Amino acid sequence: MADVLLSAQKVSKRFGGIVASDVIDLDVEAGTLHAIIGPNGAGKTTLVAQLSGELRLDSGEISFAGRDMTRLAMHERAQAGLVRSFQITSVVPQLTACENVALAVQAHDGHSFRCWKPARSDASLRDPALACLNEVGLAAKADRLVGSLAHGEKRALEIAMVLATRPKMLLLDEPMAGMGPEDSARLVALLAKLKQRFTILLIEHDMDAVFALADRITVLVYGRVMLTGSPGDVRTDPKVREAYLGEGAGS
Amino acid sequence: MSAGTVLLVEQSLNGLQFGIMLFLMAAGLTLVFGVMNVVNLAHGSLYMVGAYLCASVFAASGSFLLGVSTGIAGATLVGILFEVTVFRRIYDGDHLDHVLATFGLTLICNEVVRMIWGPTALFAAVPQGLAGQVQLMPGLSYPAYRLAIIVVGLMVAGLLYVLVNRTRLGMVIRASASNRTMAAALGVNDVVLYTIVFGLGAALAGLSGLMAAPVFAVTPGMGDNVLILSFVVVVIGGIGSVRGAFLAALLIGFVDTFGRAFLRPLLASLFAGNVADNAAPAMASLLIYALMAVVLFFRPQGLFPPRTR
Amino acid sequence: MDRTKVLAMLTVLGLALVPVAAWAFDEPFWIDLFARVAIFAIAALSLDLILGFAGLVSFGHAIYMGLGAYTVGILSYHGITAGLVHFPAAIVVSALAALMIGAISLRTSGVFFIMITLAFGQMGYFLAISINAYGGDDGLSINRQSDFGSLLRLDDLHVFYYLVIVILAALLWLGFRLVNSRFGLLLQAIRFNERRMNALGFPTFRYKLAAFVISGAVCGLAGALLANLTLFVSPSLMHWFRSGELLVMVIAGGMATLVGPVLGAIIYLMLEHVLAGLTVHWPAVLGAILLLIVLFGKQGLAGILLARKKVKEAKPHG
Repeated sequence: MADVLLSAQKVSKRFGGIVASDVIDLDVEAGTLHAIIGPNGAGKTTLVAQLSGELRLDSGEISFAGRDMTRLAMHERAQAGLVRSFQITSVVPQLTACENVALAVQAHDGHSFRCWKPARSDASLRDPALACLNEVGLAAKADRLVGSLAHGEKRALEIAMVLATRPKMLLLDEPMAGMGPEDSARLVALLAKLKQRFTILLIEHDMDAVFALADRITVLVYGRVMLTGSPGDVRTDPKVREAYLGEGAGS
Repeated sequence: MSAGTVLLVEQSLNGLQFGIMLFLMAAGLTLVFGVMNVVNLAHGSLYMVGAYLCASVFAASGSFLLGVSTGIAGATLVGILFEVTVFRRIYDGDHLDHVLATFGLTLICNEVVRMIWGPTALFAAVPQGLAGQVQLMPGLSYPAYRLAIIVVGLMVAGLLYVLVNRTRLGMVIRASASNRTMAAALGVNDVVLYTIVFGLGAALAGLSGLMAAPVFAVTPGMGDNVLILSFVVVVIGGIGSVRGAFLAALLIGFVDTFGRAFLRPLLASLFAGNVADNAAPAMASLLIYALMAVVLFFRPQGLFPPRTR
Repeated sequence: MDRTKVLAMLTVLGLALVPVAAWAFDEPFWIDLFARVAIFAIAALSLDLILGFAGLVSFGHAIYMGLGAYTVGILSYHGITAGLVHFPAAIVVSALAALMIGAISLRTSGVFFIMITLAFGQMGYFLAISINAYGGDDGLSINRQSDFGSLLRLDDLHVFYYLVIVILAALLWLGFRLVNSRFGLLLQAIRFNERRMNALGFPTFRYKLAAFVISGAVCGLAGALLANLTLFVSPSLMHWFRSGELLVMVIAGGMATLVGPVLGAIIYLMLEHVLAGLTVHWPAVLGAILLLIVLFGKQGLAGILLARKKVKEAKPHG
C-alpha cells in the first residue's frame, strides 16, 4: 500500500441541527486520483471547506504529508502544498490570464511585500506563469483579460493557478461545473496528464469523468461515507446503485 | 444609607437611562441593516428631527403630548421620505454607496435644521408634570423626567420584543434578516416591508431624540455623536440582532456613565497630584472604544449575532 | 506612458504653477488655498490606497491626519521645534495608531469595518476634546513652523508650498510604483476575491494591515503639513465629517486611480471655497451634490477624463 498523503479522521461538522459531515474518514494515497461523489446535499462542499481550512472542524483530525493540519488556517494549508480550486470561477476578471497565474506564483515564492519593482514585467513571475498556462493549453490567451475568456478557459485557468503554487496535492472542487461536452473532454485529458505528477482529490458530478479518471472513489451520502473502493467496486455495489446512481447510471 | 450607595444607585440610573436611549437608536439601525442590508448614517438626523419638532411644538402649543406626537410622526415621515427618494435606489449598491448617500443626507438635514431653527441650541422644556424630583430612597432624589425616560424606554423595548417575536410582521422581519430568498418565497412584498421597517426605525430614533432633548443640548448635528455610539452598540451587540442591541446598549450606557463618574476619584486615590484631573476625562472617553476593541478582538461577529438559518 | 500618469503629471504641473498665477492675478490668497488643497490631496491619496485598491472603506481616516497634526502641535507646545523630530514623529504616531486600529477592524469586513473605523475615528475626536492640557475643545496654537534650519524655511509660504507639491509628486510616483508591484497587484486581487487569495496561500490579513498602516502613515504626514500651514490644531480635524470629506474627495475624483483623489481634493475644496462665499449653508449643497454622485455616476472625474476603454479591447501588458 502506498503512503497516505492526506488523511482525515472522524471529521464532523454541524450547522445548528443539520449534520453536514458525520464522522468522515478519508485516506488519499500519494500518487492517486481519488474522487468523491455523492448526491446534492451529501456534504461534499462542506468536506472540501474542512479539508482546505475554510471551516473549522467540530471534531476529528486532518493530517497532510505526515503533519497535523487540523488547526492550520487556509493559507497555511495552501503553503504546505494542499491547494484547492473553486466550484464558482473566482479568478480576478480585471487582470490578464498571465497576471492571475502570476499571483499564484507569487503566493508560492513568498515575496509579496515587494512594492517597488513592477510585477507585470517580472520574469521570475511571468515565466513560471506562462509555463503553467502552457500546461493547461492557455498559452495563446496569456495576455487576454480574464473577463474576455470563455467559460471553459476560465475553468482551465483555475487549474493553472493551482498548479502555479507548486502544490503537493490538488483539491479540485467540481472543475467541470457548467461545461459543455467538448470542454469536459479536454479537461479530462488534462487531468489524466496531471495525475501522473500530482495526487488529486476530485469532487465531481460528471460520472463519466470520475470513472474515467479515478483510482479510488468515496461515495458520500447524507454527510457519511457510504463506501470507499475502486471504480469497479463502486459501480457494482448495490447500495450505491440504489442510493445514488439509480438505474443505468455510470454505464 | 451611605453616600457611596446613593451615588452608585444614582449613577446606575443614569447609565440605564443613557443605555435605553442608545437602544432606541440602535434598534432602528440594526433592524434596517438586518432587513435591508443598508448602513444608514442619516439615522442621527431622524433623532435630531424628533428632538427639534417636539421641543418647538411643545414650546408653541404648551402641550407636551402634541409635541411628542409631532416629533414621532415627523421623524417617521422624514424617514419614509428618505426611504422612498433615496434608499430605494441604492439597495442594490454596495456599502460605499450607502455610506456616501446617507452622509449626504446628513449634511442636508443638519443644514435645513440650521436654516429653520438657527445655529444656536434650542431650549427644550421638561413637561410640567415631570419637572420635579422623586424621592427614591433616603438621601436620593432623582429627576422625575429621567425616570420617565427609563419607564417609556423599557415599555418600548418590551413592545418591540413582542412585535419582533410574536407578530406576523416580526416573523417576516426575522425571516428577511436571516434569509432574503426565503422571505421572498414566503411572498413578502419587499417594497412595503422595507418602507415599514424604515418608518419603524425612524419612529424609534425620533422618540429617542425627543426624550433626550431636555437632557442634552438641542443643536444641529446633535444626532451625530449618538449615531456613532449607536454604531458601537450595534457592532458589540451583533448586527441585525435587536436583543443584542438591547444588551449592548445597556452595557455601553453603564460603562460610559460609570467611567465618567468614578474614574476620577479612583485615579485620585491611586496617584498623587493632578494626574487624575488630567487622565480621567481622557480615559473615560476612551473606555467604550476600548470595550469595543476587546469585544471585537475575541468575537468579531459581536456578542449576540442573530441566528442564521 | 499611460494616460493616468500623464494626467497626474499635468495635475502636479498645474499645482506647481499656482504661485505664478497668484502673482499674475495678484491673488496671494490662492497659494494658501492651494497649499491646503495639496495637503488634502495627500490625505485623499493615502485613503485611495486602501479604499480604491484594497477595497477597504475606512470612515475614520481623519484620525490619522489629526494625530499627525497634534503630534506637531504637542511637540511644539513642549518646546521641541525641530522638523526632523516633528515629521518622523507624526508619521510614526499615525502609523502606530493605524496598526492598532487596523489590527482590530480588519478582523471584520464590510459594514462592520465601516462602523468600526468610524467609531475609532470619533474616539480620536473625543480624546482630543477631553485632554484639557492641550487645549481640549478650543484646540492648540502652534508658535511657529517646524524648524529645518536656514536650509528650508517653512515660514516662507512659497517654500512651504513647493515642499508640499514635491511631497505630493513624490507620493504619486511612489504610489504608481506600489500599485503595479507584487504588493499592489495582490491588494487589488484581495479586493476582488480575498477568499481566493487565501486559498492560494496568501495570509491576506497581513497584506491588508500593511496597506492600512502605510495609508495611515501617509495621512499622518498630511496632518503634520496641515499643522504647519494653519499653525493651529483642534479636535474638529478628527470629526467624522472630515473623514467623510476625504471619502468624498476620493470618490468624486475617481477611485483606484491615484490621480483621482488629487483632482477630488481640488474640486472639493474649490467648491467649498466658492459655496462658502455664497451661503453659510454650503454643506447642504455639498450633500446634494454627493447624493447626485451616488445616484447618477460614480466613476469620478478621473474616470471621465480617462474614459477607460472597454474591458474587451484592453491592451496586453508587457
